[in-house]
Amino acid sequence: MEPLVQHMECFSEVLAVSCGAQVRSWDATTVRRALQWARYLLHVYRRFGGRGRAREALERRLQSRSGPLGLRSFAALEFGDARLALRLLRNRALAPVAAHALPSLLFPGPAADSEDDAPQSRLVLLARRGSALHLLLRLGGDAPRVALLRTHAELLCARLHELGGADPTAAHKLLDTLWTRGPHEHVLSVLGEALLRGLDLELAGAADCVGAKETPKLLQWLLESPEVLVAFCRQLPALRLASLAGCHPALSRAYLDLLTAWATQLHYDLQKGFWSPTQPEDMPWEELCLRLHSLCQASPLLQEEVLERLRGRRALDGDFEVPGMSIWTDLLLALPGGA
Amino acid sequence: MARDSADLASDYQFWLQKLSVWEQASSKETQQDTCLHLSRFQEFLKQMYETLKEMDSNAILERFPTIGQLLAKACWNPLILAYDESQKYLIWCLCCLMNKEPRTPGESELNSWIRSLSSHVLSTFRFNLKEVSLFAENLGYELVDYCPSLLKNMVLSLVSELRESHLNGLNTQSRMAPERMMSLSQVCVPLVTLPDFEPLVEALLTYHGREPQEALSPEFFEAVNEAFLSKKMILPTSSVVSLWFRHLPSLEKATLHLFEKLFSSKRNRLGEVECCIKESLLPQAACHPAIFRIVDEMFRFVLLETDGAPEVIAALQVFTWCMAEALGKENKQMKFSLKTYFPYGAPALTAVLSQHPEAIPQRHQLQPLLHISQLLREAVEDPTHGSQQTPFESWFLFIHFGGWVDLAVQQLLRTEAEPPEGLLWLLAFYYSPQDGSQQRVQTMVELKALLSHLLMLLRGERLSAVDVQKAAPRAPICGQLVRRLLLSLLLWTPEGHPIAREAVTHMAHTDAVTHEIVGFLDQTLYRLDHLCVEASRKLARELLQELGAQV
Repeated sequence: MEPLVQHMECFSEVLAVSCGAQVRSWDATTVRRALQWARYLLHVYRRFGGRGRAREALERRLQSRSGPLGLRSFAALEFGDARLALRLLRNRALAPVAAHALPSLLFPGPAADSEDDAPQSRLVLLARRGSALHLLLRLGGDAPRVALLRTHAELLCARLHELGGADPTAAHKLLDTLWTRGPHEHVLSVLGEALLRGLDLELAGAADCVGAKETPKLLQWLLESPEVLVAFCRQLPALRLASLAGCHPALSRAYLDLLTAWATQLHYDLQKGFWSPTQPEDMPWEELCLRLHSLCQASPLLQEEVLERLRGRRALDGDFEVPGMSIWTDLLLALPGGA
Repeated sequence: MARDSADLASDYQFWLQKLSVWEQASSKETQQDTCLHLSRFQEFLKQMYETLKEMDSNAILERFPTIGQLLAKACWNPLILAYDESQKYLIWCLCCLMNKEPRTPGESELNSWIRSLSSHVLSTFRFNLKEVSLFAENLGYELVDYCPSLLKNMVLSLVSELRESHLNGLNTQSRMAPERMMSLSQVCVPLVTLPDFEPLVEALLTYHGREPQEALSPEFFEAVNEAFLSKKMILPTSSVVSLWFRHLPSLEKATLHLFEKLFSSKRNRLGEVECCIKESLLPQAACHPAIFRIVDEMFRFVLLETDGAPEVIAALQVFTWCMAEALGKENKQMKFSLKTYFPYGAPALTAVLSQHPEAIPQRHQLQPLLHISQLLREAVEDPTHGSQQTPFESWFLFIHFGGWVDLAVQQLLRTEAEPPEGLLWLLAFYYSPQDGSQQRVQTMVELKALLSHLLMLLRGERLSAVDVQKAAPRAPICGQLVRRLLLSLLLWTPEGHPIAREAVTHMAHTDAVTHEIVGFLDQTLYRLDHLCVEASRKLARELLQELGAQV
């Protein structure tokens, strides 16, 4: 195992410096050797991909030693050669003698066509897939956005999974970083997608899949980050939140708390005859109703929770039955089973 | 060689011009034009590579000064990069252009330029929303990591859009607009052989829209058909059938492709013929009468062209049999009436012919045979009977169903009494459909005489090979029919078995006749395999092996 690990770490270093200035000193032999290592590691990936314990051990070594530019995880072994190739092709600092030899090392010609572990066929496939994506993107429509959301959700779950249970704060740190770097809207959408996907996997009985196990980590972070939670409950569509709330009691409580808080911001406009926001950023009446309605539709349990909460508030307000006096009354009137 | 190089030079100019036109406009028409030329351009790239790999960089630039332009324009065309192996040939051509040891700054510049162009080819996909691609980077992933899964998710999204399912709570139009479908099918043209695209191709093929006109581009159908026929793509039967249903030229091409396989110079055993036919998926598709009739037409054409070649007749019989088998397996609520498959045959005749001859017990076989004979005779010889079919059409219908002639021959060799006239007529008609009624009557008379002679030999002391050989064809009975009777005699009667080898050797005195006998034995074996009659099967197999070795 040890020589294998050493190879991995060697290659990780090579990869890390491949986008920097160190490549000035490289020659054709260096490049050739690096590519051979990548090929060897591809075999390692294929061999140990399914072997849980060996894979975990290798994963841990990589996590502890590698920097952001090297091999970041076991999964990265699959694309070592392509990653290296792209970096070297783009690196202006690469020594001329290495740079001139690079294309023919990557693409030797028809002889290498049948080798499925050589960079040539894999890079060619990458090129073909890339142009396929380009063409599909040009078509427009909703598909690109949906696909990207799903892919990012998968990546997020994969990365969280790789962090494992070793450092409990690692997941939080990662998520904090993502939130800071933003953009917020996208992060929230990905979060929603990841949580929903976890739900789907659980329902499909694939509770072991990467994604299902990450849900608790995501939820925990969400519930412990007030700023994110508020934005999450504000931005995500009513139906999606309702589905998620239906399955996670902690989330449904937090969501309901927020909705009640937002409800208190509205005041009754006597002239116009409806509940209107005090500040421009407050949630309007229609949206509030929609969200509460969606929650009621999600499950009978949730409906009970919502109605109970509203009834409690109405009681505190004086239990009026006439509209316009207490927002809780009016909300109950607007919801199924509330009157 | 000089001619090749002149060809290449003019091709080069042609493609340079084409690429320039394509790069100017990115309209639907240019896209369509590009898709039409993709495979020819790839051929050109292949030829270029073969030429360039023998030359060094400077020689290349001397011969093709604008090669940089040509390659660059191609590299910036995503349709070209998406097609089959074009991206590979482009990169190889670029590599040929590299200077191994550049001596001037100009040469180094060229190398640098080639490197960046190669880099572009490998990462042509740049997501428009930069902030969004940053997210993946923040996670530590690059395109190379998530390209396969992003593509998979794109395909899944589009399949969902086609299949009218709600996309996870996002409110989207569930039915795809026709223009979008057309564009999507156009995009798929270069990509049908990419395995990631298979679910999308399937979804497009099986999509049933409300609009009467076809929503998919014809180039799409052609591309899928090509990929399927050249085995570069595996599709479920339902998708292939849908393809042929919606695009007639593809069906025709598929049938021609099958014919080429079956009727090329090499002679195929019927077992292989059956394999080929089943693999082609045409029998399954032909459960739809519309498709069956087109394939049938093409068989008819080939028959006419080859003057009724026996291998074509045999293939048609196998095809019909496979189709009937496929029909039996389908659990369709609505079964089409036979008339829809055979509009040119009288319904009564079609009904009788399509029974399984093997399923009828021996002693009841005569009656349906005579019935068939009577119906055919009426259709062929009695114009006032109301049938509008020509004799050829009646014969064409008859030959679809191979088992009856075998049965007729067996019956004739079995009956001790007078051979029934209906059976004589049937054989005479099968082998010489174009005869006038006078000639046919003559044939029947001669046939009767021949049969009584053969039966007399059988009843005699010992049958010898010489006796059999002496039973020569008598005008106007054709040689084929005589040989068939003789061979059937040898195979089906116990007296025939001991002298079979010798007799057959005598009979097979020319290559053509040997071919014919081999064909007959093969056909018999093939039918026996479906019937399981051991003794004759063993003999037939041995004879076939021996004769087959001689051919």
